[in-house]
Amino acid sequence: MKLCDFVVSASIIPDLQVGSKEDAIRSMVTGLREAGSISAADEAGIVAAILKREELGSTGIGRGVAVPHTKHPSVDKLIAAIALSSNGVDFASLDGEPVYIMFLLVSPPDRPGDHLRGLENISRHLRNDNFCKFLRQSKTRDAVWDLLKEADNNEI
Amino acid sequence: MRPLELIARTAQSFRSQVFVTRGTNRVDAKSLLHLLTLGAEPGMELDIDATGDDANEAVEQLVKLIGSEFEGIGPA
Repeated sequence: MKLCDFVVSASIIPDLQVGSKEDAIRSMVTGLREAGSISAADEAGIVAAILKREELGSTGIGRGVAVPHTKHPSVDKLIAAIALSSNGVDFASLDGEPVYIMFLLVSPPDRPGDHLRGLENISRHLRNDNFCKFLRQSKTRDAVWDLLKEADNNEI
Repeated sequence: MRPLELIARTAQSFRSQVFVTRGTNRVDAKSLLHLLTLGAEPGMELDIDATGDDANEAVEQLVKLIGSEFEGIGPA
């Protein structure tokens, strides 16, 4: 599984301007709707499901990264949005630090394996300090997309 | 992911270095990011090892936690 297979390029937000977890999640799901990956009718339900998951425990996994996610029957394959914040978002992370890189995942409930492999793939790249550094330096959607392609080809 | 958070929090409560291994991938059990790279699923076999003065206790606690199948918190 490659990043470019499930990240929706049109939903990438390279300069997220909000500071709260809820607003960040809302903006990212709106990005998926505007990209045509989810329908307007499902937008609120997906936001609510992701926020509910966050109540069980933050998906802020440390090192300035969060991976908010939910399973939702409205999608037929794993999709992901990316948002970058230069000021940081308060995500109530495990390490108490703000979050600068967010990968939001929505996957079909009947394919838990895809969900796990998506998280595995994202986390493997995020372990690479250069990947995180270059991602945070990316200022445009195209720059982020090019970086994802390089990561997929193990060029970072 | 919530089971992994419990593993990380449990590992963090010990002074020892604690590792979880799946196949050839051996990662720091105190890091949720590293644990996520295991791609661990229910029913999968994992190895746990630790180094330090409370290593035995750390391994014992983690085996107990994982063996409980994270009762009550559900998958992912």
